Amino acid sequence: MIIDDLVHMEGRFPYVLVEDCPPSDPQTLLADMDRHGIDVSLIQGTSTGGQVSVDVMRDSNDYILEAHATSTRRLIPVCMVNPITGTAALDEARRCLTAGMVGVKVWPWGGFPIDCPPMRALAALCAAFGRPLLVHTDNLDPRCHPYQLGRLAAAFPGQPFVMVHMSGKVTPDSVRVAEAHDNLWLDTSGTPSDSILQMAVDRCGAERVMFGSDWPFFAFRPALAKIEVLEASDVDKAMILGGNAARVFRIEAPR
Amino acid sequence: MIVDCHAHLGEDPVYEKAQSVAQLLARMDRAGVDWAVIQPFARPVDIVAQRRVIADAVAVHPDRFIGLLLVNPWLGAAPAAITRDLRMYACRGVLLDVEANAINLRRKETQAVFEATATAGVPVFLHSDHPLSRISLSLAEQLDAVAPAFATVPIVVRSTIPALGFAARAHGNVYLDVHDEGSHQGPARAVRRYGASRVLFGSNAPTHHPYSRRAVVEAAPLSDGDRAMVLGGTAAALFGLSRG
Repeated sequence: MIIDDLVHMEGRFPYVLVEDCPPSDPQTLLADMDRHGIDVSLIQGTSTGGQVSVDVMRDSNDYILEAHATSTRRLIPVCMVNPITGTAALDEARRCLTAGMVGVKVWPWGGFPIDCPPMRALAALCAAFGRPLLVHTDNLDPRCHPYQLGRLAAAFPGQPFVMVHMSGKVTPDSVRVAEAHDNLWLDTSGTPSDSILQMAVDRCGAERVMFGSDWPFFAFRPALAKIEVLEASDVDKAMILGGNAARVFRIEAPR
Repeated sequence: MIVDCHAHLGEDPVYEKAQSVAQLLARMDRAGVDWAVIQPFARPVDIVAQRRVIADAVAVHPDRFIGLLLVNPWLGAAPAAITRDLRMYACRGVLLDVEANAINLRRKETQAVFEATATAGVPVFLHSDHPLSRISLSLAEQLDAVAPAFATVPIVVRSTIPALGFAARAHGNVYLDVHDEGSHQGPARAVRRYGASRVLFGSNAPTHHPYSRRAVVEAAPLSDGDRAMVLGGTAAALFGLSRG
């Protein structure tokens, strides 16, 4: 089973940084998943939906629930909240997790560091629900640096965190942090280089790496190609491509 | 013909990377790459040894590799010496590592490099460690001065430096290496803005595998003609390559 842990749907709120985003409605997504042999996508709104206002945050998450309803076994919803909205973010996360969403995603580019009091409150909420917290990381922005996520992970042992994008390119900070915290999973979407992905598998183990594409901003085919060229056994690749996400997010095979 | 315009050979002790000739050839074969433009890692400071790594690889595989001559302008090379070294090391282009060697394109020391490449009729490749470094970000302004002064010299630079657009739009001898474009939209955007005849497929192997980098270009929304140019046609024109 192939599970993509990071798929966006623009819905009513276009992504703030891209002007020419391809279509991302459920039908387009499912057709593209079929073309590439992807069984399940974890769908979330865009960072715009998570950032602009409390109302937009709720509306964006509602759109994701509507998309989930079109294919309940293949489009699995993840909510996005902005922690700086304080109790509103906690209320929204609680609403979404109660409605069946399988995780919470945050985007610190929008104006907060990963390790801050509102994030700790959100991590505590996720721990109470037993659901992963997915955190965008980028080693170019000190607010999103993997060392920040390492501190948060250390404060919540046993709570799963997903280091989205493995903090970007060039340096292996993501791998060093994941080596130190066994409650961190590394998401392959976006920009991590092939050599750093290989380092992650070699040093942390394949069971700590999760396949993701960041569709539609990034196409499925190149994302899958990064896994194909890893020097890893078929068993390890199967874990990366879906086994790990199925376990961490508690997802069953759709058919 | 598929040409990877950006591959490294040798060892990089800072980022703990290495790539042998055999490893690069295996990766090229896996990706269906016919030619690779090869360069050393810049950080080891022995420039002669670094040049030798490239020259030796080209000598053994002249039908697969195109070598770039690493030049550090601060070492004071005169244009005649650079022209001589291009021949001596069988290189078909010059490599400037703008960060590792702290290069300013407008300095007179660097002008000598461009004079030599204009005489030899070879391109200059600008290598930078990170697109957002202060040095990379200053390249656009520097290119705006240097590119028109050496209008016959093709200058190849990574496409992801944010401020590069105005220099690339203004000067037709600025070429874009898209190895660093994570999204398939990146190569398409570069082609829309500058034309496929100035966009080059690269992998930055071993940092990236040419197989996954080629997949990015294959997935890009491009016409077949433009895709063929990006994957090899542009580089073939730059280096005068022909199939067979």
